[in-house]
Amino acid sequence: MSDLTPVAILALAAVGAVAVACLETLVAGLRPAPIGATRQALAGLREPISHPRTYDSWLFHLAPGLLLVAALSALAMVPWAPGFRGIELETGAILFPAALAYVTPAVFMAGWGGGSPLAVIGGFRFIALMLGYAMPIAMVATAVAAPVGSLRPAAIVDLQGTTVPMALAQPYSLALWVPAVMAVALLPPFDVATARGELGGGAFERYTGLEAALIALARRVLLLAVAGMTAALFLSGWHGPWLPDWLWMAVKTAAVATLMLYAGRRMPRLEIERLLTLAWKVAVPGAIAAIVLAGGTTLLFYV
Amino acid sequence: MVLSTRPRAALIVPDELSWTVWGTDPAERGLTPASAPEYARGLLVPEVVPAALAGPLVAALARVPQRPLVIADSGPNVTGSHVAELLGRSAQGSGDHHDSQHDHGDHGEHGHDMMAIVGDPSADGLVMEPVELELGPLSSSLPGGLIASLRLDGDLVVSCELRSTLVTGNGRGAVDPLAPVAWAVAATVATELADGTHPAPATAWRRIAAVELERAVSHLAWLRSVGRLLGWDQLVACAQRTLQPLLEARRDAGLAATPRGPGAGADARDLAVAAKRAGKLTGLLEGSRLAARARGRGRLASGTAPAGPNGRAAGALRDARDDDPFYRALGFEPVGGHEGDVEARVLVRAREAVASVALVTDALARAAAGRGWSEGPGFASPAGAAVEGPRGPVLASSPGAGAAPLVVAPGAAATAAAAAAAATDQEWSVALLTLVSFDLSGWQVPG
Repeated sequence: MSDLTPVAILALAAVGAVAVACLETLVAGLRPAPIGATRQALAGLREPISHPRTYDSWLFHLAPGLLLVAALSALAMVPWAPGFRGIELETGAILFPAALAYVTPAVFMAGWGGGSPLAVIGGFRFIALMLGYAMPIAMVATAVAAPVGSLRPAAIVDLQGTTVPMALAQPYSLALWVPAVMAVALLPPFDVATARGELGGGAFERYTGLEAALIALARRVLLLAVAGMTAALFLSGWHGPWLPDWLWMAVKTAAVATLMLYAGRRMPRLEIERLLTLAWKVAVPGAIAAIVLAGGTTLLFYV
Repeated sequence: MVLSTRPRAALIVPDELSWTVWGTDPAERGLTPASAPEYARGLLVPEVVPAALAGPLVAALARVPQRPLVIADSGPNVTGSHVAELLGRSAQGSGDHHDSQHDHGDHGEHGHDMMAIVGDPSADGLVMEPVELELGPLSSSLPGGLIASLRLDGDLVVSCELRSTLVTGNGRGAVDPLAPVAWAVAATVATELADGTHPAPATAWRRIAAVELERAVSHLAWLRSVGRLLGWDQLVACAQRTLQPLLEARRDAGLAATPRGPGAGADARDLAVAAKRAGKLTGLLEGSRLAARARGRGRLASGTAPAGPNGRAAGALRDARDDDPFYRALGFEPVGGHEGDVEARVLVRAREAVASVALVTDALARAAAGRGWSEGPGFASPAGAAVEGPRGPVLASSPGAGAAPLVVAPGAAATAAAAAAAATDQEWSVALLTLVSFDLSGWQVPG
């Protein structure tokens, strides 16, 4: 990690957030306007912090910052190209879910601090959701790391470059991973904590001005991070013919982000009870089975 | 594919459905309803705001973060405050609204120590502090003017009461702004029956076309709002695409509540496009995605059979159009369901929208051909006039020549009571979906 890496990650977050905003509009069938989106984001960041009457002012005002820190930390774990990643650790694949775990207190602080009943319900819903979905994320990360014998994300990418993508080797892991990271990234149809229709914005209901802009930025960085890590862990990351490494990673990340956004538009929001049932009866046992299967696959084909 | 620009989130007074029924679809103005005043960047408001909504509007404007783009348009013919005066009041209050905002919030406050766990155990054995919540009268998923007073135990709705701040539409010369055509036709027919006059055949067919077009527009706009509640963008887009040609046809035919177009005659191509898209929309709703969210939810209590589409969704196939000779000539068949749950209510309205578009096409063709009918006047019943509106029957009777007819929507209050009962003891999102699924009119629920 060079001295410039944090700056590069911040720049990636800024550019990536604008790109995600453009993808959102494109997926919605609208005309993307990158300049307009950038202007709007900058205008939001220049707005003053509002002071609505809240239940716990400290928690309320700290939450957007914590959410952004969690999103940036997750983004820094993603191996974007050979030699370019924010934090290179031997346990990066496990630290990624650990960084995502900080989204949970951020959302709960926002909801509880905001204090309206619907905001509080949103906060509690997210805690319940993450209790169920955080474990499958970590267990699936372990499963895809098994054939490599390393939790270093770049090593997982490199192995896929010489064998097959994990999406083919462990499709069941991908099927568990995608919904779980979509839930963490507050994406429809898993956005039960911040539902605009039924909770009026839920945990983020009362934010305006700078803090609303920070939350919008954090959510887009979160989507960028989970899409990037999905591309890295399951789609061979930067490996591919003809195109430069970074471009392959960008294309795969954009494709994953587009599919996640598109899937969210195609179905109604799921009920919290159904989501929790899926988590505890399908995702958690499925993730345990994925580890076992990954062990078997490793012994048969990778050792 | 032509891509449009991103719509502006707006505070829409009283609500999106009302404006669409009145002939000004907010989407055509590039506006989409903001789910909370904090997200609003625009304001669509009638030039005269109903008196009951003036206070809530000023309170909501205090929560709008920046000066919104204001679009004031002609709305229903009601008494109230002029929008300029309300905006002036809002601007005067903006200097100190940091202290006062949310005092009138739509979503309530817990405002007290939520850690104090006292009281009786809930159904799940936990002792929870109940939370009182008031939803509406503006900027909620409910129709404008409607207030739901809810008591939550955790996220379980343990009690629900509905009331409206708007003036009830029942009475002499009354019109429900959410179904202005049905109410106006009922009053006109009642007057004609009292006077012993009959309309020309073309007029009778055009009335049917107008009533059915209003039903189709109302149902589709309602389906769009259901899509917004469910966070189902595909449903919102499908309903929007179906509404566009219908609203065009409505304007061209001069059948809107407030005609704006040249009145050059309905565009049959618009109706054909709408029919095709309505069929696709119904296909989407008949799939498993709606069923996963709505099947078995918000079922009507046994013995409850409200009037209109909500009753038909529960198997009570009562429809004022059944015995109408004009409708019989058009081959009308009532649409019904059996389960009486949210899914059935959604599907009945989607299928009724499809049927209504077909009826409009046929009725306008007969009107253009000048084909008459000799079995009797349309919309007549033993008690006077009976029009099946988008939310149920509208009955009108005239005491005599020169007197304003009495127009009522029997069963509206019972429907509201049934909705409140069906939403009770449901998880929050199910309860809200249940309330919305009854398509209540804020002008008909008792205050």
